[in-house]
Amino acid sequence: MKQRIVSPTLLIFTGILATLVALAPGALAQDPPGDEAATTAIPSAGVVAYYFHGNVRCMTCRTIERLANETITADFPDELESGELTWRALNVDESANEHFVKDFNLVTRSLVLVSYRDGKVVRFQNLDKVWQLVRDEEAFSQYVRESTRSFLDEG
Amino acid sequence: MGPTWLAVGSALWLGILTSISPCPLATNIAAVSYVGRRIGSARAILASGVLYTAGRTIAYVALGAAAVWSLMSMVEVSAFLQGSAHRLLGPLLIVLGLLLLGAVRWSAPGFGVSNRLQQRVDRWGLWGAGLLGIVFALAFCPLSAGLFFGGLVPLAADHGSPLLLPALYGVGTALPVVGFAVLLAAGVGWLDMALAKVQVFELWARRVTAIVIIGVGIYETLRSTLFLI
Repeated sequence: MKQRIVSPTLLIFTGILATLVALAPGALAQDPPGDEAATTAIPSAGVVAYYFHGNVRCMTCRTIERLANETITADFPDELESGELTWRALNVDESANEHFVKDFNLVTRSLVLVSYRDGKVVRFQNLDKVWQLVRDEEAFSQYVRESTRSFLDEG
Repeated sequence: MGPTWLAVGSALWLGILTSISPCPLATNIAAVSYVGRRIGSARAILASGVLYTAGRTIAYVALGAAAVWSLMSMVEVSAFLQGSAHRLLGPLLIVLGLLLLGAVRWSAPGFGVSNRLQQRVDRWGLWGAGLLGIVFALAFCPLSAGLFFGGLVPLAADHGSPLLLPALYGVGTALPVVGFAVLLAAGVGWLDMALAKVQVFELWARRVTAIVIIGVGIYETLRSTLFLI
C-alpha cells in the first residue's frame, strides 16, 4: 500500500496557514470606536476611574467596562457633575497611553482608581477583583461602588 | 505562614472560574476532543486527562513561583503571553490538527511499518496531552491573565505559597477536561460490548478530533492572530 507522508490536503492547509501568519501583523487590529479620544488629558486634581482596554475587546472585557460605567454613573452623579470624579476608558495599545501599563502595573484589562493633585498621581488602586465578580452583577456593582466610595473618602 | 483552607479553596475556585469562562472555552473544547480520542481505552483516556492537568499545573506553578519570588516582571510577561504567545496558538492548533489527520493516514491496516509508526504516534500522543496542557495554560487571554496575575498571584504571595496555590489553580483550570475524561473512561465498559466496532470508532474519533482542533485553530487564528472576529 502506498504511504504518502505529505498529502495534497496537508499542502493546502499549510499554504492557508502560511498566508494567515503572513497577514498577521497588528495592522489588521481594529480599534473600536470609543469616546476616549478627546478625554485623554490627565486632570490637575480629582479622582479618575479608568477602564484600560486594548485593541482586542473580549466579551467579558466589554461586560466589565459596561457594568463599571453603569455603577459609577448611577451611584456618583454629584461627584461626576462637580468634577471630583471622572470616568475614562483608554486604549493602552495606543502609543500615547502605553505608559499607563507601567505606571499602574497593568497585567490585563483593568479598572483603576487614580487620585491626582497638581497634575501628579497621589495614589491609585487597581480593582483587580472585577474578573472574579463579573459573573455576579450585583456583587460586581457593590464592589465597584464601595471601593470608589472609600477611595473618594480618603481624599 | 502556610495557606489557609480558604486560600486553598479560593485558588481552586479561581482555576474553575478560568476554565468555565468564554475565553478559554475554545481551547478546552480542543483539549476535550484530544483527550477523548482514544475511545477504546479507559486507561489512555484517564492518562491523557491526568497528563493534560499536569501540563497546566506545571505551567502555572512555574509562572506563579517566578511571580511570587519576583523573578520576572509580571507586567511584561503578562503582556507577552497575551500578545505574541496567544497569537501563535491558532496556527499551532491547525498544525496539531493536521498532524492528527496525518496519523489517520498512516494507520493503514496490515501495513507493518505504519503500525509501528502509529504506535509511536500514540505514545507521543499521550505525552502530547501534557504538552497541550502547558501550551494552553501559557496562551493567556485578558480574562485568564486577570484571574491568574490579578487574583491567584497576590493570593499566593500573601500566603507565602508559591507552589501549592498555583498548582491548585492549575488543577482547577483542567477540571472540566478531567471530568469529561472520567465520564468517557467510565463509558468505555459499555463500548467493550461492541468491541469489533471500537477500531472503526477510533478511526472516526481521530478524524473528528483533528477537524475540531483545526476548527478551533482557525477560530483562534481569526480572533487572536488576525483580530478579524
